[in-house]
Amino acid sequence: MGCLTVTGFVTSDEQDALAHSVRRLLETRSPLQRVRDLEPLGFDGDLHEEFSRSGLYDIRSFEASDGVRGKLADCLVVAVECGRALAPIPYADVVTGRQLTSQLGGTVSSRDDGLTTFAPISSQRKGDAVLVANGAVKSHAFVLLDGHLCRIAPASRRQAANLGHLPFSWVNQSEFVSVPEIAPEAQRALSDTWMVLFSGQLVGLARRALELAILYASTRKQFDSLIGSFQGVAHPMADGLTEIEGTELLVSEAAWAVDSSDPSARWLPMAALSRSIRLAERVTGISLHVHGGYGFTTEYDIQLYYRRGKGWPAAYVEPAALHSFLVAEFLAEPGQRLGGADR
Amino acid sequence: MFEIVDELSSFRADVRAFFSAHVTADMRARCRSTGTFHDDDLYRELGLRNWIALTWPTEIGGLGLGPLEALVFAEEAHRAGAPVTILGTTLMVGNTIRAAGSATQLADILPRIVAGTLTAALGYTEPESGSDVAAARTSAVRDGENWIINGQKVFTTLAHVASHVFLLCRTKTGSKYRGLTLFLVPMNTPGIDVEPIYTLGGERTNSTYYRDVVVPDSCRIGGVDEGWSVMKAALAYERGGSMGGAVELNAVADHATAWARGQTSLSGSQESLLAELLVDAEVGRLLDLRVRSMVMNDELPVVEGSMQKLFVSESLVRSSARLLDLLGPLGVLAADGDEDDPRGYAEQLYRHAVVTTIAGGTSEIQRSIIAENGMNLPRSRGQ
Repeated sequence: MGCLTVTGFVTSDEQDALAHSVRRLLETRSPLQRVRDLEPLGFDGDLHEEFSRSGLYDIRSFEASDGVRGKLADCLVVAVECGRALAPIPYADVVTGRQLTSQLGGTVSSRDDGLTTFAPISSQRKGDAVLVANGAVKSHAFVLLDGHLCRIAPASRRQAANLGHLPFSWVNQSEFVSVPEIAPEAQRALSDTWMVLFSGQLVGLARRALELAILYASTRKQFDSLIGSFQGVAHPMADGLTEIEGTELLVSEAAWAVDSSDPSARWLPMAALSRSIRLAERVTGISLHVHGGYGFTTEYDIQLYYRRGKGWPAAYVEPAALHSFLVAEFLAEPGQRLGGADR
Repeated sequence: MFEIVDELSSFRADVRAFFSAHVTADMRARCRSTGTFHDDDLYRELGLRNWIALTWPTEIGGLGLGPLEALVFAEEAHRAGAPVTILGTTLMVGNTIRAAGSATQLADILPRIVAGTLTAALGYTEPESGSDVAAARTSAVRDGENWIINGQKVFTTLAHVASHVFLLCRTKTGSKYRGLTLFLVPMNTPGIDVEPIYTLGGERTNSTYYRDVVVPDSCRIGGVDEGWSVMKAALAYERGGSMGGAVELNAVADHATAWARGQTSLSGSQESLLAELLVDAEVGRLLDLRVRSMVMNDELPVVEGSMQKLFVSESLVRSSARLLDLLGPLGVLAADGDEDDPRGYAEQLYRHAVVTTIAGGTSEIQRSIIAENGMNLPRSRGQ
């Protein structure tokens, strides 16, 4: 009958320093003008190289023999910064891809041979073609096809144009290489990594979108008043900030649960992802609306966030399916209940 | 940064055993039928154990426990259906007195709060001043060593069982925020009348009337005309999750989970309803824990307290509706008198939940606090 508590909802000094340096890096190497320049593909090979060189994908290093080192919570800090900056690299996919590579015993080199990614989601099919995340860049993209793990070989493929400007591509099933099956628990660990980090990207994206709205509402005047003084403008933003902070806490808790192998890790990453998906849609919606007509123009940056706030999660996740898994997991374990009493 | 604290287990076991021994089915039934969630004997028993002011320092009679123990206490009280609503308002008043009372008042009043012999209802709201609480018009006029109070308060919940009412009075006109004074007035003072107000949720509240109520100056808490600043500190404490926090919201999730475990299968839309409800409850719990963690670190959770209050209350309303959606037509059935009958829970919850977005600062007030203090947006209303 313990009680889950918090020793403070602040990140550690090391995490603050990490966030700071990644933010600086992204401000320099990936300003929003570059994000725009890289549309519609949505992939920045140079930035990917930089992340690779700086070890930002390998903060939580994996060794097939002795398991996980480093913390998911630290990777989460980087993911949040990537989301804030709309960095055109699939951070969650790459970290998860490297984790998978190490589980497979390093049969695919992650460092020398370009991009290795894995988003542990069920792939969409159209006849013989499968929609593959990161298939439009030369990558060793792993996919789950009917529950089986497969991989594509790096090749030039045409992007399937999409809302979030993600480098997705249709890939013919014949191009898939099958890979050894991995144990369900290992697959689950990949899933947890990806869900927590992808959630982090969405939370960062949502927070930056709201910050843009705050800036605008603090400078734009109508009826001789700053529009931020109107409750019709300010109150939805207050709801947005509340949702952002609540979701940040949830995503952090999910990372903690995974890092510490708490039983709640069975469902918290799904809860975090479910809430982050909704958050990104809501907050980018509120934030665009605050900008009025200007928000609808391509000139203003808020549209970049609005597009990705829905386009990123919708490309990967069907909320109804996620809810179904979440509920099944929560109900399956008789002792599983929300924290607090009876823990 | 999260951690599991196990030291709370024995405290939880003690509290659970206490409520299980002292909260009877008869007591709960009486509370439900009268709408008065208070029991004098139970409250005195709590006082005997020092469990009323359990977070107060030992120097003033408390147990010196932290916000997590307060959470455990609230969880167990809720689990047992213990009628302890007056504890929250009494502690708010007690905390205000701790911050602003005279040495004599501290010595006289605090021990009685700790012992459970002094209970307090809040007399802030008036028929013409709700969210704009500083617009109070109930007047207190100096008369030698006494004050003479005239006016009306509304939503003076539990005034009919409380020993005292904490009155916000106008002592000066012409200065809205610097013309208010607080008084702790015994309910048995001549000139006070209490009229019941029955509510949608089944809880009884009151209108209270004050006609030439004479109180000595010793009842004044804080300086003359300084009531607003004294009260604002207490309001932050109220929103700061001093008591219930997300306990009610988490109980809804537990109820929905129990229901779902009893079903052979769930439809996709039921799964989505349940998932949203579970996630809301977890987020509410975390926002509440963050506030408690700040209190433990001696930080004042102004924005964080408002976020917790806003999210938890709005989620409770949403969740009460989702629970009815889950249960289908059976959900709207009222309780049949039998306590063990799970029916009635969702029906009652739906009627009750909405008040949580109004009492203790409406959602609009919380959003304004968040907008102004959390985002530095310009003020949208008076001071």
